[in-house]
Amino acid sequence: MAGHLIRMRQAPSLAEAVPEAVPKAVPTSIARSEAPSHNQPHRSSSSEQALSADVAPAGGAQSFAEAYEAHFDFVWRSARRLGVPDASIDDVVQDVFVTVYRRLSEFEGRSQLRTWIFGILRHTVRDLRRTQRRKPTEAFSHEPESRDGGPHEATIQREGTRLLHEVLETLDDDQREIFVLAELEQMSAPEIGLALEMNVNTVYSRLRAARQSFEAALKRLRSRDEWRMR
Amino acid sequence: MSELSPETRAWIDAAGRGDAPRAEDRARIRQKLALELGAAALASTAVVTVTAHAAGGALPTGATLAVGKASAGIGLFAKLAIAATIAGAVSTGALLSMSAPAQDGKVDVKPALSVRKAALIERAAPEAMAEAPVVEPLALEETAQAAPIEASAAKKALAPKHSDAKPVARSNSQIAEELALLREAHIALREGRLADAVARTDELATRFPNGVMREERMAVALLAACAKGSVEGAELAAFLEKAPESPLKARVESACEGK
Repeated sequence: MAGHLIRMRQAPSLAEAVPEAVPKAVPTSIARSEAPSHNQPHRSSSSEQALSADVAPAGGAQSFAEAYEAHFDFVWRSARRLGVPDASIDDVVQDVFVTVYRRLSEFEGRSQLRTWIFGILRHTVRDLRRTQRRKPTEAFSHEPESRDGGPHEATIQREGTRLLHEVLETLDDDQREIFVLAELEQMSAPEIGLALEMNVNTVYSRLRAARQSFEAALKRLRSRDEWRMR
Repeated sequence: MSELSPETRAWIDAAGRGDAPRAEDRARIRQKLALELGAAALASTAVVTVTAHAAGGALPTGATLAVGKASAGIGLFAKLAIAATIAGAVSTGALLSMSAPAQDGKVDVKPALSVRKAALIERAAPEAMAEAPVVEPLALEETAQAAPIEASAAKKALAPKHSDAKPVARSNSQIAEELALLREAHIALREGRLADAVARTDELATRFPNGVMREERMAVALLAACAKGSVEGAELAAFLEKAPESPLKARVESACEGK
């Protein structure tokens, strides 16, 4: 395990991979307008607004420690949703934040900080997937651990999360990334475009396709699971 | 534009809850980053906060400070750096508070520091050591008590339960040297320079056979050996026996499985 991950770290640097080219745009939510769900990053008090995921700090103004505290949850859950196996999640998240640490002074605030960080995560995960394709050692998905109390609730939660990951894994890389950012993180189309280095029109069209693929895969896999339980 | 059905949206919301990290996940990664990047990288939040509140009133010796839940996830190095910062500020009469996403943990801070703790802290935040008094060598239990939530991790790192080695009073510079070598080994391992990683761990074993970071040194050596496919079963067994509760145990077992 350590071997292939070490090879991943030896891949070309992420120096040219971090999106900062598109100027910051006014966020326009493309997801539902309901109250923020649990999937949203923690909303801190007004006195800690500088640490809020929605605020784009000026380059260099936010410390690495602040960035870590503010965005760890986002990186962790996004890595899981992008299909990083349990055995690799620590290394992937650590790699992302090491890169954040080394390059934080270069962040110019032209996008949200978490958008910039997602760009780093995206390339880290894609590098890992390329390594996995060359030398498959484990399925690029995993059995999520129980996060709720009580055996019954834990089983339901675990099964739901497992199925979510399985459905996401049926999407191609672009669709999966767009779907995770739009439907699970409620990120705006312009920010998604910055994160994934594509224009807004492309974001909308690919999201439409991702939604259709997701619904179809969910229906299919649910039918499969129901058939298995007969 | 096609939209997801309300039922699918609700289902996604519920299923996605299982992806949230646990406090121990955050703490574990923090610890790894502190090892790789140095405690200063992750201790900056505490330093900034201390500075911002330095004009406040005096804090009695041994006062209990409110520390947010997030700090429970702070790794050993950062925690010790924070403790030293607090200790240093206490002695200079600064009022401290630590901001964090949640606020329900408490830490009792004693101004006295062991030699071992002092050395680790000096490396991370040398300015905080200017005022903190150093009392006695290797007061390991004191270290564990200072961070109750992560007490077990602190104990394991500084006082291996199954070690039969006698505690040795070390100078600050010796501990700093040991930490520097361990960091070099860790970075070499991450970058795939296995020979360098092995060379650094061999040097650590020679110069600091009973060093404060012995468990971590053994773990890095095993990870490098497993990556090379040349691990010896006896070495792996010795590590697992001597450090059964090491936070690195799971990673070593995973990396060395089948090797």
